[in-house]
Amino acid sequence: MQWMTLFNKEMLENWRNKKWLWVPLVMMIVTIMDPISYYFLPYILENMGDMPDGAILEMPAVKAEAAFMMSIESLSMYGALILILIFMGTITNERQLGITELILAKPIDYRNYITAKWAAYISLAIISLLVSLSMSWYYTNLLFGSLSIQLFILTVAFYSVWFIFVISLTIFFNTFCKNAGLVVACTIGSLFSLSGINAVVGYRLTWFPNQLAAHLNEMLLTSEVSGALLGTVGIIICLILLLLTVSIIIFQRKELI
Amino acid sequence: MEAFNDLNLFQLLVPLIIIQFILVIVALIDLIKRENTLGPKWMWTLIIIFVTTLGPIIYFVVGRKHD
Amino acid sequence: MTIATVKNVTKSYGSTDVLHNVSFSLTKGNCIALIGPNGAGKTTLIRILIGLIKPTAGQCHFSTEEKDIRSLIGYLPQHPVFHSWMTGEEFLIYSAKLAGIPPKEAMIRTNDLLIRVGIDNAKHKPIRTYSGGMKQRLGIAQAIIHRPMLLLLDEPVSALDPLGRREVLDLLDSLKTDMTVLFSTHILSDADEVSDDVIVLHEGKVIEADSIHTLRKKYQTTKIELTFDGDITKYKNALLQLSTVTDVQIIRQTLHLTVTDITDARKEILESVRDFAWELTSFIINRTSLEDLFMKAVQQ
Repeated sequence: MQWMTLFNKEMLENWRNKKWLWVPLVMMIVTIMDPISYYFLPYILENMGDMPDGAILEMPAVKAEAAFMMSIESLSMYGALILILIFMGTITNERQLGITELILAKPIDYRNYITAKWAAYISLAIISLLVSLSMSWYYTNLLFGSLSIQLFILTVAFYSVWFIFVISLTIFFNTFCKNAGLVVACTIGSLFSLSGINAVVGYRLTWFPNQLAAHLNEMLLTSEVSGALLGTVGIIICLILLLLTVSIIIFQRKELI
Repeated sequence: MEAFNDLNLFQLLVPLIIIQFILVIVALIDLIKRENTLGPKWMWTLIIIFVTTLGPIIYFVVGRKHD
Repeated sequence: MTIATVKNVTKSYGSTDVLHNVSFSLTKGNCIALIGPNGAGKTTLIRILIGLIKPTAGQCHFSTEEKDIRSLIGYLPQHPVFHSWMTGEEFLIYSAKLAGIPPKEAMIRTNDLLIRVGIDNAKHKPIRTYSGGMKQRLGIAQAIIHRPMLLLLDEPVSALDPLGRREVLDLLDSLKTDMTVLFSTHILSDADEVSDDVIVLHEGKVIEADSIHTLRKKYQTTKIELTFDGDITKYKNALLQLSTVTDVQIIRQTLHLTVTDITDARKEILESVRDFAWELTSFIINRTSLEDLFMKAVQQ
């Protein structure tokens, strides 16, 4: 009941400030830009005019799976960045403006306060993901050959977990950072550290969170869900739960004004 | 790339162009309705219209003052 | 009946004590003014009462079985900030639902309160278009929508113009019947107008905590002003003979008496007036204003 009230408020706020419009639109552009550019690359190069006559441009043939992975990779980069940017001030801004003082004087369960925000942004993130990957799927089928609907759904489902992880990380930093800028810095810093560790020792840590993209790629190629993929997803879900729990504990202990 | 012969370049790019167009329109409508922006409105109008994709995003993320 | 007891509350930031060993209790159905100059610790004390900040030492105890005391308290901060994209009506419904009131009831209470605080005509407008006075009234509405037993208001009238101040003070006066009201102010006349009890806070310490009536008695000046028809020097000498009168001064045809005790002096003087048929035209006991009271309390 109270949770729904808080959740509905976040949904309404995101609708009124047009996040429900621009975030899916931007995500769509992000996901389809790469496959389309790749497809048109030879055409673009030819028309630049500095190709010697008779030269034949051989582009490596790209399969549907690889094209679809391009979208995923763009999302990992720009999609995650957009999520962090729209979520950066969800608590810090309310605290800085002084809204928290009024709202938290009401008998609000802090677990509700944190998880309702979290869930509202997850809804936005997953809907955006679904819409944008559908768009990418459509282009993939059109330009690079067919990709089964099962694989498409599995990819969306598994990749959602990564987006939820990014949002959990952002809300975690929201509970104790003084301003939104710091939240962005900390969140991006953490994600970079993770991918740094992944680059160095990732090949040994099969279930490392950042191995998700590699496992998804493998799934698209083999059409099989590997144990490694499930393990990685399991680890990420555990991290999400941990981040949420710690966020709530920090929020309860902290003096909020 | 024999696909070029089958597929019309225009048809392929139209969805992308429409999405970008909607994004610009949404940003502009928001800009017109808003009372407080960070920096002058004419500057944001130029950024939204002329900086493809990134312009509206920058406006949505940093251009709007929090209510 | 005591609804809340504050016991030895101290709040320190670093080495400075914002509040030092503060103790008092709140009784049901009273209007209490928390007075003190800026920086006395009023805001900190109120925030500790609602639980937004925790005391370094000491505790607040509420006489209730309720687990979350916030559901029994209404709170209006000094500078209330709302979700300004919401309309006034939406914000009140939101506040009510957060306090656990079912949707239908929330709707009814919202509409009643919008009328009661006088912002009914702006209920569909976003809060960012509201004036300061309207926001203050919306703030009071959100603080009482869950019908708390204790209402805490931090400087509710200090930012308002005289008209707005009058309206809010009248509103507070009407709330006194339903709940205990505690409001802080540095403007003493506001406290004088509506409060029954006064807590005087100075540099983080409670200097006085009692009813206005008792405090008046305690700090009352022992001065009486008299005017007579005819030659007042004649009266001056007669008055000096009275046992309760210690000094008489004539200032602009008025006799200013210093007396040992107001009640005894009044009795003795009026007896003389009756017995000797003095032509008394006015008799004024110099009442202590809250302003004087405060100055004296602080000086002690």
